[in-house]
Amino acid sequence: MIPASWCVALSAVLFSIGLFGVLARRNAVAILMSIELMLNAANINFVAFSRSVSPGELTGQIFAIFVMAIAAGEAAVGLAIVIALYRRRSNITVDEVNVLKW
Amino acid sequence: MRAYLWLIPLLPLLGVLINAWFGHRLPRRVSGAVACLVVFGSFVLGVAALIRLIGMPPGQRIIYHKLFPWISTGGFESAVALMYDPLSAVMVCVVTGVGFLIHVYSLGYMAHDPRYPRFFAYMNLFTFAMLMLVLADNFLLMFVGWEGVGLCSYLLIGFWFERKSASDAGMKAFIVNRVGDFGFLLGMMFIFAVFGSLRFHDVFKQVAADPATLTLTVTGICLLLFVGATGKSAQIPLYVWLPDAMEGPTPVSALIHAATMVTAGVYMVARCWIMFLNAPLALTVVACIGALTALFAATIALVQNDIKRVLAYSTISQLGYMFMACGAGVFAAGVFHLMTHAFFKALLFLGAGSVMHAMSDDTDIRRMGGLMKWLPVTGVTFWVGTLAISGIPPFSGFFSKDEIIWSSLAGPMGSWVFWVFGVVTAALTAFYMARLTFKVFHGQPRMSGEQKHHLHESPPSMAWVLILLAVGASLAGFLNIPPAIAHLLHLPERWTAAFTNFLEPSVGTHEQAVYLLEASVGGSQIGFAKLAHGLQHNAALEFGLMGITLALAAGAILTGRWMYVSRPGTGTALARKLPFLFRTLQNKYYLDEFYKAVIVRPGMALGNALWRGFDVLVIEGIVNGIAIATAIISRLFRVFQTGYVRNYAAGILAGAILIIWVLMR
Amino acid sequence: MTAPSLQIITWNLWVSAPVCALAASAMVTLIAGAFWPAFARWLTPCLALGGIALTAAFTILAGMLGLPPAGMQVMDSFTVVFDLIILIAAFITVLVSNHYVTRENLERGEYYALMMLSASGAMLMAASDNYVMMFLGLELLSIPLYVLAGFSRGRSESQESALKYLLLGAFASAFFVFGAALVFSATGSTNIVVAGDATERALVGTTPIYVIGLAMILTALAFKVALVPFHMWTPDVYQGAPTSVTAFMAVVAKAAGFGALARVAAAGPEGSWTVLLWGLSAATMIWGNLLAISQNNIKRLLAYSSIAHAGYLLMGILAGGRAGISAVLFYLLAYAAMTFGAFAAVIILAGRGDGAEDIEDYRGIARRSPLLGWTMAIFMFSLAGLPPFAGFFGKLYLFSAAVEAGYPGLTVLAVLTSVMGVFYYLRVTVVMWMQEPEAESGPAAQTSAPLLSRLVLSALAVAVLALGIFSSPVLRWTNSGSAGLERSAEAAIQMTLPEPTNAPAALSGGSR
Repeated sequence: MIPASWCVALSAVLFSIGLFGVLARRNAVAILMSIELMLNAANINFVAFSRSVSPGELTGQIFAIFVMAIAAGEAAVGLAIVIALYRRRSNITVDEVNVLKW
Repeated sequence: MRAYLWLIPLLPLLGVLINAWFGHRLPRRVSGAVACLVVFGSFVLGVAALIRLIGMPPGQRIIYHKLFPWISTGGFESAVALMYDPLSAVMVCVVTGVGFLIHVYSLGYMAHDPRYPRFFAYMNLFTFAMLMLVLADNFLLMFVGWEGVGLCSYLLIGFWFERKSASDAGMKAFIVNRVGDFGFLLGMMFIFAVFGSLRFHDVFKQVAADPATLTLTVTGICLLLFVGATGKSAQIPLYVWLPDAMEGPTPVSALIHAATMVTAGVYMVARCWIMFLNAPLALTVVACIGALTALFAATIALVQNDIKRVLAYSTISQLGYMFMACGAGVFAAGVFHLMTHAFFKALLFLGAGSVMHAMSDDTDIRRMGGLMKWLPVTGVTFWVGTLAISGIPPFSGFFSKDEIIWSSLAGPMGSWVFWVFGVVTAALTAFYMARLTFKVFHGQPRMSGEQKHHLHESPPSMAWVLILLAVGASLAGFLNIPPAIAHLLHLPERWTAAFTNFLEPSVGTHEQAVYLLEASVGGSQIGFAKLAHGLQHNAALEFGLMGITLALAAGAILTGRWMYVSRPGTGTALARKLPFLFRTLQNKYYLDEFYKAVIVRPGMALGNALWRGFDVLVIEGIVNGIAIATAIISRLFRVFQTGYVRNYAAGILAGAILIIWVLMR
Repeated sequence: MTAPSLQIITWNLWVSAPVCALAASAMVTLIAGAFWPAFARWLTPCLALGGIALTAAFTILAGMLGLPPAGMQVMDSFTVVFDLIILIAAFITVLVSNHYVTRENLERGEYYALMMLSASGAMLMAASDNYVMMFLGLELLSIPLYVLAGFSRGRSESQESALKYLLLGAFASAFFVFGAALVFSATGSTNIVVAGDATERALVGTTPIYVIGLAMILTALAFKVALVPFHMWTPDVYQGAPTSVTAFMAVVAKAAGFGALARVAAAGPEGSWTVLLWGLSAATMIWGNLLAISQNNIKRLLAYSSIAHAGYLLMGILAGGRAGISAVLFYLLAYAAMTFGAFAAVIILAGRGDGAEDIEDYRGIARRSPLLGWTMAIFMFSLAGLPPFAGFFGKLYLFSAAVEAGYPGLTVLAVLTSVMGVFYYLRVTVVMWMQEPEAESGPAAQTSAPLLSRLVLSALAVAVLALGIFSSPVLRWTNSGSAGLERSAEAAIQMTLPEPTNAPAALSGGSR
């Protein structure tokens, strides 16, 4: 069986990749994808530890499903906002959305 | 009795509501009448309560009235509760009595102003806040009144906001006062932390019970409270706002910036007499600041040419006197001068207003002269005020000022140093007032033909107020005839020092003061204190010193007459001979400039963002000390607040790492 | 092997009745708006008001039942007080929105429905004693807000605001989920109090992982309430969003974050928790006030001011205990009244298309409209913390709680920064009262408003004054809330814990 520490490592790596994506990418959709990556990193953690820290209960699994459902909702709203932006500017580069500052 | 104590502040509040909501719909006459009547109603109630108070045995002259509980958290209780004791009674009667007369005067003075109802709404609001201040039975409610009068003062100074100087002056007053209020607030917080209550009664009882151990803490608290007092009562170093406050309408100057609000600091110190007597160091600071301010402001007043500014500096100087008396440990003398000063300074300001009215709002005394011919009522009443403030018997100023000068020497914390300050200031006061009066009302008329053509005495409503105030300024002194004089004239016992005796339950007797001071740490060593040197019964010395003061004052007035009437031009010649001194005084010791360079400019650089935005802030910031820091912070802020999502996300990440680091430590 | 205990099944439905009622009312509003668009103009706000009132009734009723914790949500007196504050805020938002929505042509049925859904998320956040439930609340609060921020699709500022809020909000949420996952892996529980129980963790040596998880959860909450350095989205989003939405965000979203923070704090996190809150609070007060000074746009100014207020509120959380939390609740109520008031005035002043949002546009407006002048002055003075208004007493309670809890230094700093605040709040009043209106071109501020708006404005001003003068009974009420929070935390500790974990074995790589 895969030790839990491997899962932690995997989820940490995934989370960091997502983090990097949010900071480095300029395309709004890419940023949304990076955020999904971060959320799924958490899911891996939840599912992996569900067996070892709360045996007999499905807490971790249930929560992973919660998170997936919410992530889907967030993605739907996110894409809608991005599309509205695209219609107006024909462009979804986040750096150019920069009227409001200081 | 209790049943109508709360009506005293409520009536003016009613006036505010009426004038604020319906003012513009009411006829002017009604709107003004309402404002005057509510204040008069408060006055009648105040006097009724005062009579009731006198009817009670001296030891029990105090009425409490708890209106409703206000705040209760954990261990902190505070109520909206009123207190009527001799000190409050004196303040209430002065505020409503003089206030009423000034309201009536305003009917005529403001008759042509388009914002007539608003003016009276503000004036009533001020009266309400001031009454809350003096009636409060705890520090918190007093602070609410304190802030309220500050707000009204700011609104009324800037009443003619079309003039930039007026709104600037309002702003200046507000900001300087915030500095003082900060001290008051901190003092209040410390009081609560130490005593667990903000009620005067609870706090003072604890201090009186254990003076020795509390001295150090109480000294800190008293110094903080005194910072608040210097702000409100325009003492060194926070006096700078008061001369500028003369931008407001003249009745405002008379009511707020001479007779009532500015005395709030003196009232507060007198109210906290037990605490101050337990803090000899703080008391010495009060006396020194008071003495310095008295002399300092009097010298500036010598050379001012604006009729209202002379009176403004004179007010600062007289407030210094009051603080000096408090600092010497004789609070009753300070409060007595507060009362007489309210009469004669209101009289002088209103007289000045009458002159300005006649002179088409010109305030420069170099363009006046010989006005007695056109303004006889104003002239005569102004003379009464001048003689009163100069301390010429039998006018009220003689009694109160003499008592202050005497107590600065004979009081529990008195000293020769304070006495010298007091006497020199008295001479200067007599001189600058003589200069002002002679230049305005006597000698050759110097105004333009146009102005001369328009000269006229004020309408009866204004003239009658002047007359009434002149009567008050002449007679108020007899309330408190010094024992030495009373003894000499074989006056009955109840005439002797009646005011002091009445006030003593509120502000302590000489013996109580000495007891508290001796019980406090360092009470007998600190500063100039020469405790209980037994001077206070030395009648011969008292008469001798009184004579010196009187001679100096009379001499100063005669010199003034010689310089400005008999030999006009002597003053100018003198100024030419001593150019440095003259210019220094003319520029008020360059203190405004000093503040500007050291405090205001760097502070303003920060505040400049208020007016001109970011760019000016950067430019100013490079020039000025403190502002450089602001500029750097603002630049950092620019780096962060770029509008780029990426940078914001990086900020969140950095913050997260910070949180992890702190939590893991 | 214990029987699978999906606690959801054993829930007493009353515990979640208020949230469900509000969500259901939102659905009804949504459907009504979709089916009868012709009546949407008056029907949807009426339905929204009715739904909020109904929810309030449910909340009070559920509070009176004295329900035990239901495993995921608690219906203690804290929840009741908090929910009612949220509902009052939502109610005012509907009233304040009406004029704005009509003027800006935003009257689509989903506007009010989204707002109600968001409010139900806020209620859920404060009612949950479980990190995952809290996450659900956080998202239910946030997702409708992303949509609302971009609701005026015609304006690019609104779009920008929505995009920034969405990306950063989702980013922060990811931190929350990952933090919750770490807490779960370290303690085997997602219950706030149970996971916070240090003895268990010390036994198995997983405290560092728990602390990292807690830190990430705090990050997300700090983002929501806009603490420095997580505040940077606030000015941009507040400025760009429709003004009524900004008001809602400034009050409800912030309140929800503080409700959640109070729950987390009640579990008594150990370590340098107090140092952390001290630092965050100090930084937030200083930055918010400092940067507000240089703002010219009124909405941006209010955004920075809301940041500064978050700093003050955090003092109450830091002080904790009955006095601290009660002060937070009182301050939230006071803050809601004065912030809604200020934004309601801005809605009127800004005019069609939000043209006049610069403070300079309001020169001398008080003379044209004394109502706007006076009410705005009251709100500004209250925000600045001058007596006798609500803001002063809110600050007083917070500060005195902090002093009593042993943080005099922070309190002095708070007093100093609130003196700084006087400058910029006063500036608004000075501009409105004491400056000449300029005849030049440029967007002119409006003063005309429908009767309802004027009534709401006056009512809020009266509320700000009344909350100041009669703060005692209100404070007694919020005290009951903070007492409930304490009791719930104690009760949760005594709840039967799950089987001892074998997390150390799991982490060291041992398999079973």
